[in-house]
This record gives sequence, C-alpha cells and structure tokens, in this order.
Amino acid sequence: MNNSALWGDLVDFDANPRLIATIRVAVGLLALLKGLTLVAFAAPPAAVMLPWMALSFAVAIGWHARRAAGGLVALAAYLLFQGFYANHLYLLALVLLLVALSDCERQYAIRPQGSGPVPGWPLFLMRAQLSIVYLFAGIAKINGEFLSGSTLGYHFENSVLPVPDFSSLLLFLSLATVAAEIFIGLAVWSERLRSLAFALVLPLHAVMPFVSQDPAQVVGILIFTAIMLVLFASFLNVPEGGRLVIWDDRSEVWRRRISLLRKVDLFGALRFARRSEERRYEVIGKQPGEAEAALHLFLPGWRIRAGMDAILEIIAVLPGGCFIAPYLALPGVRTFGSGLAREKSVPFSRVRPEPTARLV
Amino acid sequence: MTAPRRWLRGVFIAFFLLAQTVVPLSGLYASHLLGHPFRFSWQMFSRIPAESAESDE
Repeated sequence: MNNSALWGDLVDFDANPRLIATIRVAVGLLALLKGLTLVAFAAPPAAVMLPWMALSFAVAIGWHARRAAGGLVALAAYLLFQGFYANHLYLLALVLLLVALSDCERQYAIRPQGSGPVPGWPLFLMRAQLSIVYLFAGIAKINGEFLSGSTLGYHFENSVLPVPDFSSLLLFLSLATVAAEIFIGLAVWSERLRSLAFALVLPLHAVMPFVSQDPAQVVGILIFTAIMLVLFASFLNVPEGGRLVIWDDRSEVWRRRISLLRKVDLFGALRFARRSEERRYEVIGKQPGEAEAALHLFLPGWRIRAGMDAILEIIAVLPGGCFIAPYLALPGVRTFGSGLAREKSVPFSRVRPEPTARLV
Repeated sequence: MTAPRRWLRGVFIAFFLLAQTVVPLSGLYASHLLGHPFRFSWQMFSRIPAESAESDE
C-alpha cells in the first residue's frame, strides 16, 4: 500500500454524521457530569463553573456546539493549571477539542447543519488518543514496584470501596493489567484483533474503581471510563444504513424486537426491510437453504449473516454493543442466543416470493 | 476541501500526534528518573504515591 492510500484509509475517509453527533452528545453530557462533580468535591470559582455548565449543555443539545466545545477547552485549560488537575479532566479537554473541530452538528442537534457524510479525520485522532492513553498507561506500569504487585496492593489496602481479598492474585493482576493495556492500545488498529480488545475493556475498567482512595476519585475514574468508552465508538464508523437487516415480519416477537432495534440504533448503521417485501434473496439465489433463520443481515459486498451470526454483527454496531458482542459469541451463550433467534420464526423455505421483476 | 485547509489540517494532525507522544514520553523518562508519576502522561496508578502527594486521578 502506498503512502497516499494509507493516509486515505487512516485519515481521509467519510464519517457517519450520526456517529460523530452521538459522540458530541455523550461528551457534552460527560462535561456536564464533570461540572457537577467539580462543584460537589472541589468548589472552583462560580465564574468558571456557570459558563462551564451552560456550554456543556449547549454541546449536548447541539446549539452552537462547536463553539461551545471550544469554550469548554479554554475553561478546562484554566482549571487544569489552577489546581484542579485530573487525568480525566485532561482527557475530556482533548476530546472536547476534537469535538470542536469535527462536523458534529448534522444530527441530534437543535440547529442541524447540513447533511450527508462528514470528514473522518477527527475520528482518526480520537482513535489515536485512545491508543495513546492505553499504551502509555501500560508502559508506565513497567517498573519493578508495579510488576511486583506492591502498587496494586497499596491501592487495594487504601481503597474507599470494599475490596475482595486479592492478595494472592496481586502479581497476576499486575501483569494482566500491563498486558491488557498494551494489547488494547495496539489491537484496536487490527480488524482481526479488535473484537478481542473490545472484550478486555469492561473487565479492565471494572477493576479500576477499587483502587480509589476517596469518593471523588471513584467518580473521576467512572468519568474516565465513560470517556474511554465514548472514544471506542470512533472505531464503529459504519455508513448510515450500511447494514441491511431483513426480518421475519410474520412474527409479532420479531416485530417488537425490530422496533426496539430501531430505537437503540443511534449511529443509524442499520436499514430495515421486511422479509415479505424484500427480494434481494431472489437476486442472489440464496433463499431455500440459508433462510431458515428469522433474521438476515446483508453486509457490503453481498455478504450475508443469518440468525445468531446476524444478531452478533448487529449488536456490534450498536452503542456499547461492541463490548458485549464478543461474550455473546462464546459457545454456551451463543447456543442459548441461537434458540432465541429461532423463536417464533417462519422458515423461509415456506415463503414463496412473487414472480415479479428482480430488483438490483 | 481547499489546498490551504488540507495543509492546515495536516499541520494540526501532526502537531496533535507529536504533542500526545512527546509529552507522555518526557513524563515517562522523568518518572523513571525521579520515581513518581507525572501529569499529562497517562501514568494513572503506576506507582505508590509519596506520603504528601495528592492524587491526580
């Protein structure tokens, strides 16, 4: 691959406007939450916090959101250098900067601006930022003190939360933490390894609050985790309607499930078609053998997923779904899910498509 | 996108990536020398804090 093709794939791509808008809303809400925790735990000047809260709200609702995000970056910089430094506040400021530079007001905004795909380079920088945080957090822990388990032991002993007895696992937990952070930082860039990286995220972040030494730190770690989860969404750039879901419209159960799916598909990656109306099966000649499942997913290039495979691919493009989809693919869980997927479906082989003109 | 805007975007991307690499690397080196975590370097919970140090998390 030459340099310009690599640059195009990595940086110069079209982004789904709903994805960037969802990231903007989430970051605005997290800024609002951070403002509330600052007021509750640190009491910064009201002259800073009042505009902070107003600007956070403007980012979340999409009212002059890019300028509001820029204003928040300036306020965050002031707070960082005035004794309110926290890693999650620094991370929030960086993400707000990227939101301010992105075309983030086309969807989910009070004043929608324009339509169609948006430049994807802010998503590239969000991906890079995510990778940088995990890699440096992992590399910084490669020191004798941490690898011996004594650092985690100290934090668990002084934790504000009730901590289970991890004393016999300290060495393992320390090594696993370093390995997981470095692996996630690298593996998110590989399409083959990304789902494994996603699978490690929730267990890794679930342990983090237990190293907190006061309530403010617990809240800080939770905000840090939420920002990282938002950054992971930058890897879920599927074009609007880029996944076609064909579902069994004879089943009331599936009607309800599809109705729910439409509501949670915040990135707008899914497009829905009723099986009785959709004739793509005819075009590709796949109907009898492959259509016993109630649900089919058509991916670009006419790749088809059926039943549980389709459900897993659908869940992976929903907000937060990428973190649980790898667990749903585990053998036992998958078998259980396959049973649910077949429930109430009408085997496609009984459906006779009308002999009408083919759609291409 | 016009050429000047493309150029400006390239400069910003390069600056952002450089800053986000050089600053944490300097923090890592300083931390290696002095034995405590540094700010702006993503060194959360990497060492036992000094008695008087306040947490940055």
